[in-house]
Amino acid sequence: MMEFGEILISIIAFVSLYTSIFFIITLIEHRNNITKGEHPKKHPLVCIIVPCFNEESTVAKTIDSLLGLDYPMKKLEIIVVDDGSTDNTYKVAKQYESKGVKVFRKKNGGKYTALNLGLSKTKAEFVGALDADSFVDPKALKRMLPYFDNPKVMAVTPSLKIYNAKSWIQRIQRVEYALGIFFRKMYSLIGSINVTPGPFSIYRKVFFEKHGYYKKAHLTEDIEMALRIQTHHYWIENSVNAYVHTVGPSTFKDLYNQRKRWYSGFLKNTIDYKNIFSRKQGNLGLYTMPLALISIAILIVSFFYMLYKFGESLWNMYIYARAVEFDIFRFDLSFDLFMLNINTVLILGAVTLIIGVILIIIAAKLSKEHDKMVFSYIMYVIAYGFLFAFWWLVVLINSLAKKEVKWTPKKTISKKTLS
Amino acid sequence: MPKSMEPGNPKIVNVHKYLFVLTLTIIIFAAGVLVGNSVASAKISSIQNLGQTLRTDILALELQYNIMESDPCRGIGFGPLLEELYTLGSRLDFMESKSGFDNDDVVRLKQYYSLVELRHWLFIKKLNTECNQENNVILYFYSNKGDCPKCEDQGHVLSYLHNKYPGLMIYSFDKNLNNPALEAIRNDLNIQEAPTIVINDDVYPGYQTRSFLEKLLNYSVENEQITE
Repeated sequence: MMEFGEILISIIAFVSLYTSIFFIITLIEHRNNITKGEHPKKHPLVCIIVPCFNEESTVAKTIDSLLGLDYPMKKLEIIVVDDGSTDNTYKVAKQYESKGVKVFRKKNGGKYTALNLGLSKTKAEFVGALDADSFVDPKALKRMLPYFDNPKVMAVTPSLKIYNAKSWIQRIQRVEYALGIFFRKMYSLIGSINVTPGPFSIYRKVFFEKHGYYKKAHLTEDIEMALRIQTHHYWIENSVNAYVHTVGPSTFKDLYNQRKRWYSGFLKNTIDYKNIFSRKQGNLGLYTMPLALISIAILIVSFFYMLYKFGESLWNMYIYARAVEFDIFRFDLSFDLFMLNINTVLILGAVTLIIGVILIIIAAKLSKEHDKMVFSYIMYVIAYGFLFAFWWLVVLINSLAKKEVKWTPKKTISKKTLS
Repeated sequence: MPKSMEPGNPKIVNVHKYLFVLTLTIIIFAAGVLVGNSVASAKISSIQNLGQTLRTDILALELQYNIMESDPCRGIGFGPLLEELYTLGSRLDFMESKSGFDNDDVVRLKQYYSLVELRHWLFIKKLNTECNQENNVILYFYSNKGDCPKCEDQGHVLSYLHNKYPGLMIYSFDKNLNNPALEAIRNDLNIQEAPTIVINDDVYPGYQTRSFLEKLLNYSVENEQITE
């Protein structure tokens, strides 16, 4: 008879093996069209909206990075919308008006209202947004636009990297984002992108005109936009070498708040777009969306199982301590290799980890992030499963309790990160 | 194909690809299962090898004992043998506790292990009587049929004592094991319940605490450590 834990590990191994093989084969299938060449002459009018709320410390760097884009300046419109900041954001942005940047100020109404104000002020063919805590690579825009040659394509996503990862929380995110670069590319190859990230996703403006502007969308308008484009049977592409650097939360609390917002946004938007689970949506409806939900379920079950196991081993330690009348320092620490239960489950676990390493290597290659990745990967493997399960648990409990998620801005962007 | 899926759409479901990936996954998965199973059977044979080594060691010791009969009490070291016995015992416990291992092989090895233990015990007794040695000996009768809630605790106490007093000999026997030699000992000592502990021929039925056992053993154990 198999124990519950063995069944659980077998399921995890099977699902992750399947997924990994699936995407590695997808990569091999498309090995010749992972990136697209730039257009040397074609330069359509592009507008980038920078919505900001209390981002005085990063907004200048964000605008500078836009001004540094390798793109004809007269074809690039930059609109900064200050969503009622209470700090010097507006003042800082205003200084860029002399360089052709348009700056607007409005009463605080949420990110989507700032984006919509920007949308209403432009006549550009393509519009994008760039969060005021992110910076673009000069080549990014030129590498993204060629994907719009296909009229079916309504949005192109970039590759996100964590900017200047210093704290261990940021270094874990760096691995997560590098893996994200790989998966986003793979998802785009099977028409399954379900989020067009706030930092520098570019849209065809006509989509907004036909199907409406940004919505509040449970504070995750980037997930809603992607799902909306998909349900209208348009395509979302990914330009894997269009790099955008974003400041990752540096403290556990900031990261927790960010994830609470993301995951509850994913959950609620998925419920709003539940028709996406359909044959009409192909890979997205039949594979990737169900896979996301299955993974979350497996993770939460594993979380409780690990918690139970941890409690059990604490209890066993207590039983031992009580039996030996708490003279526990004589505990026999010698280890017999024979007792290492090398069985099917352990081998499957090892195979899963090895495949994970292979994915990381591919991801590091794609993202051109190879330095010091191994150490970060070890931290990632140890910590991320727990963190992910914990965040999802909080989100599910809050959703069941119908608790509203609020936007909590990052409080701690240190000068060190920005240097 | 749904109407929305025109050719070239990346969303198109490629059934062949899904099936191919499934086949590959099943192959790798099955390979993992096979390797796991072969490791498990390799373990059984390594236990058997250990049993063989032990048999040879015991024989060697007895021959040594026979040869040195004129002066039997010199130069006989049973320490390494005893450690091997412990290793084998804990490995057997481990295999027994793992589901899927409670097969005939393990039971047979356990039978054999008990006999080796008895032989060792008799050997020590002989040393004690013929060579005037004072080796402290504990016999421990347990049951793992679920009818002995205190056996786990008793096991903890005994392995604690084993670690604390290296000279102490502990032999544990499954009360439910059927073999004539064990039955004879059980009848001789009148073992009724588990746990039961026998210290130098005195029988103590029921759970015995660490402090009680230490009190019983203390003097002679420390004495022995001094002479060593």
